[in-house]
Amino acid sequence: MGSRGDGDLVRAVLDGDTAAFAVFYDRYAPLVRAVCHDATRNVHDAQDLAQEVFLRGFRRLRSLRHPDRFAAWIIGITRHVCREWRRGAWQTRRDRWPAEPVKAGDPVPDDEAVRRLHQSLLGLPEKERLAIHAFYLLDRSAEQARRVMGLSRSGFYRCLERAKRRLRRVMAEESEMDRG
Amino acid sequence: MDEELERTLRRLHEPLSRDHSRQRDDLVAAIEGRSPDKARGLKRHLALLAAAAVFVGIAVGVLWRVVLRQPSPPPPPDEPEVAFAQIKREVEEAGFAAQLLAAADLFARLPEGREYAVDRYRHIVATYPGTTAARTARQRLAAGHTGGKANEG
Repeated sequence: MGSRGDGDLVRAVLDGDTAAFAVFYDRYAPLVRAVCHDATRNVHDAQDLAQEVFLRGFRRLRSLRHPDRFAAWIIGITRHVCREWRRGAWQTRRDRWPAEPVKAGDPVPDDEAVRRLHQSLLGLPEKERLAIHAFYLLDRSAEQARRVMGLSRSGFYRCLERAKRRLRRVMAEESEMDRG
Repeated sequence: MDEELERTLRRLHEPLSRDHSRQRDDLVAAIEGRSPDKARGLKRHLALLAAAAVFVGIAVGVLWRVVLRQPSPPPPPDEPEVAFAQIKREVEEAGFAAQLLAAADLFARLPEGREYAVDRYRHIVATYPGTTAARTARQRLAAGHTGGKANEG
């Protein structure tokens, strides 16, 4: 089932196969969580937001006119949910998912390199950040990542290279600042 | 750079994917109650329920009319017709009584007709008691003069 295309999975879900939606979750939840994490900078909020994104996706699946574009569509919902979260509207509904005890050290990565990378990523434009997440979280598949972003293959590669260059520069600047 | 970036990214994303399976199961449990198929099934059940309710309503109505309802009471008496006949009769009686009263008054003017006039007044009072003429005839008799008022008029 894991190899089925998004279009087939959408049609299966609409025919009542909820297991097909679980495949979508396995496929795109890491990317959705990463985007949410960039917005919330908190692991638990990011996980909660991701659940909300997939729940909305399921509810609105019938409105998806091009089933093959599920990935770009779910990322669109993700960005919308993140905007809501920033406005604070969503935070009043946090009891939608069962609360999970916050463990010490969970929200903030304890690895310095990880913390620095995240800071650098947050300094990138949203589109370039999404290119990095999509490429590396979708098994380095440029085809899948370009679908997520709604770009041509060449357009995606240009965006990815630009993102990497900028990321290297930002990370180098941060290293310089740390040394200085 | 790519490998190092990927490794670091994986470490960044690792905590986010903790409990992935449990969260997926939570989500699937949440959506199973909202499955399009189940929603369609629910709509079908509601439609059947509504149809059954309509059928039961109609059946109860028919039973009520056919089996349980009492035979319809006889139509009410034709009161307007009776009232009309009664009024017509009263008008006729009032007319007769008034004619008799007028004749009695004429007789009362004559000295030899007064006794006959008294007899006519009594006849009017006895025969047409509810009429205006009977009331006048009663007043003539009570006044003791049989043609006084008539004469005065």
